[in-house]
Amino acid sequence: MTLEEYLRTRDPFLPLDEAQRASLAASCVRKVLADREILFREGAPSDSMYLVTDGILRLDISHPNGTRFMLTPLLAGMMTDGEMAEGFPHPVTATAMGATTVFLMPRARMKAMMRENRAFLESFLSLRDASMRYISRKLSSTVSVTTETRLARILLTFYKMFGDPQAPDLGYEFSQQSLADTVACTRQSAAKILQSWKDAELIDMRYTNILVLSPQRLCDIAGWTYEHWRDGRSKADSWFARFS
Amino acid sequence: MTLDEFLENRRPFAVLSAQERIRLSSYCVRKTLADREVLFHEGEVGHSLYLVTDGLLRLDLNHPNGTRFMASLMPPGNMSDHELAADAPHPTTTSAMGPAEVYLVPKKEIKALMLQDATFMEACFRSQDESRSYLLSLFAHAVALRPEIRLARILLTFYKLFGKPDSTTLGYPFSQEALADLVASSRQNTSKMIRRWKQEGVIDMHYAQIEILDPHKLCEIAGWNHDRWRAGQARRKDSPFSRIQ
Repeated sequence: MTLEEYLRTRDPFLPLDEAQRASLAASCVRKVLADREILFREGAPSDSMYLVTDGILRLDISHPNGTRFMLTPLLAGMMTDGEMAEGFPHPVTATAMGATTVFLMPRARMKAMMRENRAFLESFLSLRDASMRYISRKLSSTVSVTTETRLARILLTFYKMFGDPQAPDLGYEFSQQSLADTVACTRQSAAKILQSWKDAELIDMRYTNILVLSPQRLCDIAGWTYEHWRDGRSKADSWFARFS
Repeated sequence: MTLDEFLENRRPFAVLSAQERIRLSSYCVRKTLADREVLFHEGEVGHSLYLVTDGLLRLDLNHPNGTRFMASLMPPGNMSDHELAADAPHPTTTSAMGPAEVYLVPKKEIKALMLQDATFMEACFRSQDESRSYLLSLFAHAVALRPEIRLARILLTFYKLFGKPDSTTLGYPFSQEALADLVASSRQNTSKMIRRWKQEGVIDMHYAQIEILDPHKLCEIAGWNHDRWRAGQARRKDSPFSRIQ
């Protein structure tokens, strides 16, 4: 997707006219990230908004136990939602999964545009409120879900994003440590879960290559309906909720 | 706290001129709530922001298992969720704990002021950013905490808010069901925890009356330092106190 396509077809930019879009586009800086390259770290101050035009970014939050966990992946056509105050620190760490292109849009330019175009302000606020609701929903659905359930959901999500439905290969390499980091548990706990899944022939794992042998049973563990997952129909508590 | 004090001292309103504040306060509508009265339900579309000037509000999230759990508390000087879009439904259910007083500020007037006053726009975005960042940090801390730890933290928080330092009474009645709802756990699990704590002499509970017999022990379960809890020094992010101070 090009930047122009993004600005023409995605919220919050829809209410802008041609000239306003062109002027915002001119203020953007393009940045290409390699697989696993960090775009920004949690706590670092910033003056930009980040628009993903190609690839996938994952957003992680640090956990007090020293691990991190994945809040959400962002696909092309989505933006890092929302810090708007000048210099406000990022609440998450953003990392590329595979080669990824983002555009940095200066927050100050966006705010100037909001004062010029009231509908753009409303559209931005609406997107941001939706993002807050997403976080709240995610919070409430995560709070009493076990680590095993979270890990199953994450594997199913990645398999959907990176894998080929005809092949069991997950399509993206993860070490046990990095899987543990997606769900904020220790490597030992993650290894135990993965071993029990291997024993039950749900998955296979050699070094960092993961095979999903039985997505049906993994869906059972995730508490998801297999058909819904396969067709990409989301429940409110899945990451897909943002993709549809 | 009066409405004028709120607007003069609290973000994002503190940056407004006296004239702008007077105009905004003329649009505000006062509302008093009785104990446990619901101000708004999750999912309802609201047209106002809510400023708490007296009492305490609690914010709950619906949980997919049919319970709810407490996301945050709002004492006077705090503002409800910062949902500013015209069509935004409330992400939480908000109810009063004890009598409370709030002022409803129309979102429309806040946005009109944002467009007029760039400093106010920046201040509004900053307080939204802070609220978002708070929610995310709550999230990060809640994810790997067992209901037992969450319940201990919540009891300690309420004891601090409603209890008297020289009394063991929590100061606010909770049924076991209501306690389960605080931490999104089932009533059965919650009563198991409570029974264990009673046996260990940590708390006592008769009907809805809770006594905190051993705050040291409860702090240990919560993973908090007792002296800091007693002195009201919050860890920056993981306690509902971080908003209260």
